[in-house]
Amino acid sequence: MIQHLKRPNIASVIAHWGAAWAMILALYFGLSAVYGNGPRQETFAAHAYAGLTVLGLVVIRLFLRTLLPWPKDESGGSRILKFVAEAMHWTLYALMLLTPLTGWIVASSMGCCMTVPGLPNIDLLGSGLSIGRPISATTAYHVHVFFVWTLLALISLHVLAALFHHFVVRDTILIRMIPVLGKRAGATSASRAIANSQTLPAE
Amino acid sequence: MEGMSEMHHTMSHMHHGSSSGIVGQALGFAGRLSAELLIVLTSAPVLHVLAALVLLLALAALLRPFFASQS
Repeated sequence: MIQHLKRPNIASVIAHWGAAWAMILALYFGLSAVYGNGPRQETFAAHAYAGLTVLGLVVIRLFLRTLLPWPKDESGGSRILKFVAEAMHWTLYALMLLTPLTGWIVASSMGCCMTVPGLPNIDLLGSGLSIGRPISATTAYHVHVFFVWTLLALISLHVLAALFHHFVVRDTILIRMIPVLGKRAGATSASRAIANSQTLPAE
Repeated sequence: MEGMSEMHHTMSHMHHGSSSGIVGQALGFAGRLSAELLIVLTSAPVLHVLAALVLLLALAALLRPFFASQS
């Protein structure tokens, strides 16, 4: 019997794994820039580019999640667990947005000693508008580091939860985010599933 | 890079600066962190980017019915 999966659109899946790899690179280059003995200028620039990639990909993911239908969670479980899972996802999105942003604020104020080629100064962004206050690089750095460790803790929980769903609950939560496994199971996209449901006669 | 190391050094000091017990240190750290979070979330760069993101998502929400009917 062919199992039909409702999976997110392929662009969201690619952005998900792209952001995962970019975060691994950003963490590696970030730790190397602070603690390593290599060329710090280049390492810091690589950290900044990886972080900006995460920022771009999370904006794309949020845009696609708002624009296109998203498959409903059919894994069962209590309301509390579903609420926790939903809160976890939105906290991850927020941290994936705010962590690179605070890093960008730090990088913009380090022009004297550590420049990132091609990186615009974020302080010039919307300088004609009078919302918000200026911020010191030290404050932004403290919050950036706090966000990084919080993000790492939540990503660890996210991975553990995905593995728990796959190996213990045995549902399709993990498979629908891995296109190769989904093809084996005869997956259909969420949009196609919705289109199929629209062609069915109303009950 | 000296600036970055200096900031990291300053942050390390935050963990060791107080001598009023572990609860006092934890409260002090939580208080400083909360204040810094508030400062960052209400800063001009963050508010500008969040405002741009809200506009982008509003555009996506407006286009959503069109894409739902296409699929």
